[in-house]
Amino acid sequence: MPSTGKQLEFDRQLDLLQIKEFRRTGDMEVLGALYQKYMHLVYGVCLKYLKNRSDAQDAVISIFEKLTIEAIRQEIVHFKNWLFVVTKNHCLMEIRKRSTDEAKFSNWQEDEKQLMELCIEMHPLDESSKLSDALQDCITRLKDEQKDCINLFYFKKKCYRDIGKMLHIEEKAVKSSIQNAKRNLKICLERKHE
Amino acid sequence: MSEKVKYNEQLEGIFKYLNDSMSNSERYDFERDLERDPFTYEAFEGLSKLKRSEIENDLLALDVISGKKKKSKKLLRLISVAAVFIALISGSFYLYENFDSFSFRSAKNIDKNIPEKINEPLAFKKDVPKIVPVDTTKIMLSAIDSNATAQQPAAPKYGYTVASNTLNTDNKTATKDSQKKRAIFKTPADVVPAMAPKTEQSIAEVASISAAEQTQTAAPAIEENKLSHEEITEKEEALKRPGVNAAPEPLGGSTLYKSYLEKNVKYPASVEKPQRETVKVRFKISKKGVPTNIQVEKSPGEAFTQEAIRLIQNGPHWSPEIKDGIPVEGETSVKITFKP
Repeated sequence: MPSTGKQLEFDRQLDLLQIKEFRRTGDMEVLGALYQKYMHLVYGVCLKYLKNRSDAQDAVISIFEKLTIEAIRQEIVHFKNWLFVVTKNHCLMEIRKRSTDEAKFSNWQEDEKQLMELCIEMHPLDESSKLSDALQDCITRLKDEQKDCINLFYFKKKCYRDIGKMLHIEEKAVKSSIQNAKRNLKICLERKHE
Repeated sequence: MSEKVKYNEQLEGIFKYLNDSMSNSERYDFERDLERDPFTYEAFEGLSKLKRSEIENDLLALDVISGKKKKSKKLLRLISVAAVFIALISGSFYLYENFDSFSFRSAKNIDKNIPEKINEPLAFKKDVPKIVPVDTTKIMLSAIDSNATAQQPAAPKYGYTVASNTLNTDNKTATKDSQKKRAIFKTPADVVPAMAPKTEQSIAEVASISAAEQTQTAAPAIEENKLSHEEITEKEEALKRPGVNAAPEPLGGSTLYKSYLEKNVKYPASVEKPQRETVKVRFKISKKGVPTNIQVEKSPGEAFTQEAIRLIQNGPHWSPEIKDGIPVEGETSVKITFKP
């Protein structure tokens, strides 16, 4: 079974309790325990962006240090999402540092602000099993390959590999089709709301 | 406990998926979770490039490292706590010393029934800018070097004797008002114990000015000899850090506060023609950072007013206004935009 909304909400509340406890006591071990829970995710994201094991490890440590300050400074509503944004920011900044040795501080800070404000919304497809009319309409307007992938994945409950076999395309192509389709659907929905 | 299990569970799932040891429906569930959570999705993309043993090794190493970091941070915190303690103790000791000489002075004043109030503000005003920085640096220094606390009691006495020496020389020149001057004199001497030798001249100046002043103004007040209130303000004076000022600000910064307002504002359902509205509220920030006394400056209706007050009251706390290093009650205003 994929994890349910209830369970996700429970996790979120649990994280918030731990954050509260950390803010109250300043106990690093509380924050450490919380961080450890998501450390493999942080490490994975760092690997994806920095493409290098040792850099990614350094990043995981500096992100924890950042956390000890930011967790007190900022109001956190959803720790996991927040951690994702912090992690991504850190990696993007590292990449920029690499590409231009002469660092432009003002630029980074602006960028960080923008990203910080970005909040992660769940895609309507992932959120609920019931589809709105608008969403259904948008799905029919997708390109054929994207439409097939969405239908097979979300309604026929096939895994990437099976979809690839059925459509005679690679597994990677399935994944990117689904991602692109989701992005297109979001754009389509936003237009309808206007 | 449950966190540990969950942490391993998800990682275990990733390994299993990469190892191709899942059934098709298990694969689907895993992929569905990935699609739902962009964090896991991207992490999976990164992790899938490594072997299982590599990932396990790296995570284990990170556990050890972050554990070490935690300990060193703890030590740092301990040191800083200790430093604050030392500063507090030496600070209160210093105040205690001052308090002693204050009460000594006031007792003498009452004995001789000398009106003191009129002269004191003048003397004080003249010297405050020089005095206060000395006080704070002294406290800081003694915090760094705890030996200083041992020397501190001696310093005020030194200052005091010097002051009374100059007093004697002054006595020769002044004929009638010598007793009154004694009272004036001690005010600066007490406040600048360590600086006394250097500021001798300025003290003499102040004394002569205030003496001249005194002869002109007849002093009426006997009841003003009650010094207890003044002593308190003087003590506060010693804690001040001139120039350290700050306006009240929401905890976490103003951008975060704005996003709090945007996210939580609810458009009142009772409004007939919903359109964009703004409400401006003004409220006080208490010394402890709690918004109080919320007053509406501009509002299109009662429903909006209520919602605005609810948002401010339930919202984040603030950092209070700082004046000369001391938190005071401040005031601020906020605009809230209602979008239908």
